[in-house]
Amino acid sequence: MKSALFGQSRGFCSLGAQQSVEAIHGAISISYTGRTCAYRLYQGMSEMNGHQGMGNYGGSSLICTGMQTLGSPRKKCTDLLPNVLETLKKTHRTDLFVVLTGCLAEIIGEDTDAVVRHYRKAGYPVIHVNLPGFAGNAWLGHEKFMRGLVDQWVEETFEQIPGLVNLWADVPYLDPFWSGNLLELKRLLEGIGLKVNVLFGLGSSVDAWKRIPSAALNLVISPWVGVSLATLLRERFGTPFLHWSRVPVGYTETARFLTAVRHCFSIPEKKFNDFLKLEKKAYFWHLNKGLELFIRDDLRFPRAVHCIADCHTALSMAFFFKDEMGIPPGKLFLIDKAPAKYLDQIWSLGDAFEIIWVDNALEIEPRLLQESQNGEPAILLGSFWDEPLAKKLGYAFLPISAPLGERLVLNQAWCGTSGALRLLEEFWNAVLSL
Amino acid sequence: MPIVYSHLNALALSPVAQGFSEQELRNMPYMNTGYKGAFSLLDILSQIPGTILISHSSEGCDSDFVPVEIRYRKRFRMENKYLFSTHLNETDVIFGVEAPLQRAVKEAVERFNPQAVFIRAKCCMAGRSNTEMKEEIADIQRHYLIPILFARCDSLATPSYRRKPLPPDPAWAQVAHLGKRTGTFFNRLNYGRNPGFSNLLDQAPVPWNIMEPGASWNHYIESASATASLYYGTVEFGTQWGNMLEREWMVPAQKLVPYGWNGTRSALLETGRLCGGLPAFERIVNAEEAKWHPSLTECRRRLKGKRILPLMIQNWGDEESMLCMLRELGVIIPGSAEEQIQWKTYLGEEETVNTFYGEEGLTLGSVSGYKLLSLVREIQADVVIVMHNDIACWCARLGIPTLEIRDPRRGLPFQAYSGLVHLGQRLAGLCENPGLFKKLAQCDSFPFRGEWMAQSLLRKQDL
Repeated sequence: MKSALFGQSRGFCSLGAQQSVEAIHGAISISYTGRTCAYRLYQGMSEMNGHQGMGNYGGSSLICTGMQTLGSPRKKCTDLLPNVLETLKKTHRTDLFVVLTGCLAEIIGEDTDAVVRHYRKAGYPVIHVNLPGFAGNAWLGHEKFMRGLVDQWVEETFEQIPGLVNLWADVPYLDPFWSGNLLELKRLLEGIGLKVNVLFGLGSSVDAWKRIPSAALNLVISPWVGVSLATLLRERFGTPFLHWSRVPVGYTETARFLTAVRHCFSIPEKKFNDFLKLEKKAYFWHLNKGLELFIRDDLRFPRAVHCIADCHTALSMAFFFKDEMGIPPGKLFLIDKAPAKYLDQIWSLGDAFEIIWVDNALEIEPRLLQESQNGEPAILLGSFWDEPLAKKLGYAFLPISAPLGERLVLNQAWCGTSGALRLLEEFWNAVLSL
Repeated sequence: MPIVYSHLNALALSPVAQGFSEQELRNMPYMNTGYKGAFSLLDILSQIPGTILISHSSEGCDSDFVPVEIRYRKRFRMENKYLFSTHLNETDVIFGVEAPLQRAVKEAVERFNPQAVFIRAKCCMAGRSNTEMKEEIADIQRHYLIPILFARCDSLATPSYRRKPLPPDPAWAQVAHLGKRTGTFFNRLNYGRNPGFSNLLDQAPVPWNIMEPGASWNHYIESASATASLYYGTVEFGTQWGNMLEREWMVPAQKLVPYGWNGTRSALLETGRLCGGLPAFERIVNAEEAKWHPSLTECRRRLKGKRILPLMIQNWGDEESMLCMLRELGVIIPGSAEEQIQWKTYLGEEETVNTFYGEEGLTLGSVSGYKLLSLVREIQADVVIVMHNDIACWCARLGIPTLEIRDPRRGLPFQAYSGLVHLGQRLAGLCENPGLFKKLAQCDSFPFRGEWMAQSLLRKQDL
């Protein structure tokens, strides 16, 4: 019988998309929720997930109308919104307001959409996305927000920009390494001569979202997040998409990924090869420094890499350590509850691995305890929640997924070639500190 | 050293300029996120060994488990295995949230045999009012002998507590009398995060019943048998528990304010008088004052003439305590009544104020950060101390050295003589090393309109 007790919040809730809004320069989210809902999510997804900061409109200064609890209704929340919108328009430098409604608005059935439509007609740059927390986790919330933004904000354009790619990869803030990863992916794509439409993080803007239909390709790098959006964009604007189901980590995977992208464009072969050559040279030059360590026989060295993360992170890591570093994969505990329609594809990706979908994080410990009976050294890649478990099992531990806890992440990445080198440093430092 | 935002000061500052009418400025909403007592309560209750806390909510509502867990691990050097959630989902919302809670409590009791179960319930998810939720939990209680308690601070409080007309929960009052301890002993309630004053009390030969994060459940259930209660720190729960014991069980409760030199001395001597050991406490006072006096003198020398602006919420004495400490450190406090300046303002409810602080002032805790910026810019302090939800980073980006005191609901640190010296040293360090802040100010990253940045919401008025 399934346990009725759950623990270790890792997936947060769909209202976590407030952090995705924060990741778009010039967009302000207006949380139409209780004040603590917005603050708790900031605390879990940003502050306690690598100290990612408040940014411009987020964090503890996130705009929130506040809502009364059911027992003491004072004002209807739709009465609060006009005042907040009018004030923000006068005080804040912004290009887009995103009204996000949570559980309470949904339960009491407020027609926020009608209020927002009224203001949009009146010329306010405002959209509304309904994100009740009980309806799903932050990955789903992110996807729903992106679809809402495209539906309500992005208009068709006939101007095509050759070589422009919309990059859909990490979920901002939820993946604590998102900004570094996006920068690395951008660097790689620009390296082969493409232009990257930066939709989140450094260099992003609300205008970039307006440019979405001008792109020649939507590039989705994730097992499932962003796929439905890319499908929507293909239907609305006819833009093709390339779905690369795991983040490229290490040279081999990066080269394979870039080659696939190249086939969508007419990139001169020489330019492409020259870039790859340089990447390869630099990557292996650095990698060779660690060779003595990698090949050494040491009883501490892991004979399996277990991972507890969303499938985006876990699968990417597993492929890298197996294919590039030759370290056998262990168990992959996937925590992001991917929609049913993507499960087959994710299973097929992970043929070589033992994938376990986790509904309740408390189920993980008994399974790993059983696994550790063989006494073989291993490393556990996971979140802040998993560190004590690793200690208990005698495994090395590397924090790679949300929530990271009390760590600082500024621009660290683990994808591409330079990110992979950084990942290896962290990985081996964790092993050596055992 | 000039502050980089001085280009804004060059703009004509007028109380009603750039398209803002007086009425608009007065009616601008509070629109930021907020801490709530529920968080500090979670932090406190989840650290009572032998008990279980269940959050009856969706996974997102449990995002604050992480900081709570961090503190638990630091305190006990192990993970907290007794902090749970019901992870309500859409199906539960449609078909009813009672069953998941009943199942969770049953499983918790059967698996862990706890001494008590606390339930933090998110009413919006359950679609219930607080009163309905309390009734539901009382209904569950009928099946168990151990206390099943609705975890809300106002469960302990009197009906007049703030604007929420929730009556005190008799279940909590009963808990305090579950255990029996004979003899004379005193409750010591401190849920702040600074052990400074507690360390001093430990030196005295008094039979304490210590109630602080990490204390065992026995300390709670024996508390109604105490001779008296002392509560200090500025955390709501301690105050409420002390008051509840006095109200329900006639245990005299004494609030202490061990902040600053004089405050600490008074608190120690008051404790001595109450607990019948005054000479011992006098010895502690003498020894501590001799120990810390040179450091305090040095802090005062380094801070001479410095203007320190505290932006504090007025929870449970945080602001008054901070003002006392700043006065003892000899700094200039802009906006204090001693300055004898009248200010015209759009920040508070009053049109003019003679001080920023206290009930007669601006009630800074209820002013949004986007409005407080005006005050910070106008005052140009050497350091800003922030214990407020959303203004610290903005102060820093204005180029003003900023000391942020996080988690307002977890109380004010800097207790006792050591706390005062620590505060002085931090402030002096910031005054003497403003490099980071000055550099931050060179990067104009404010998301506010220029007109708003130039808008004055506070100015000196000619008397």
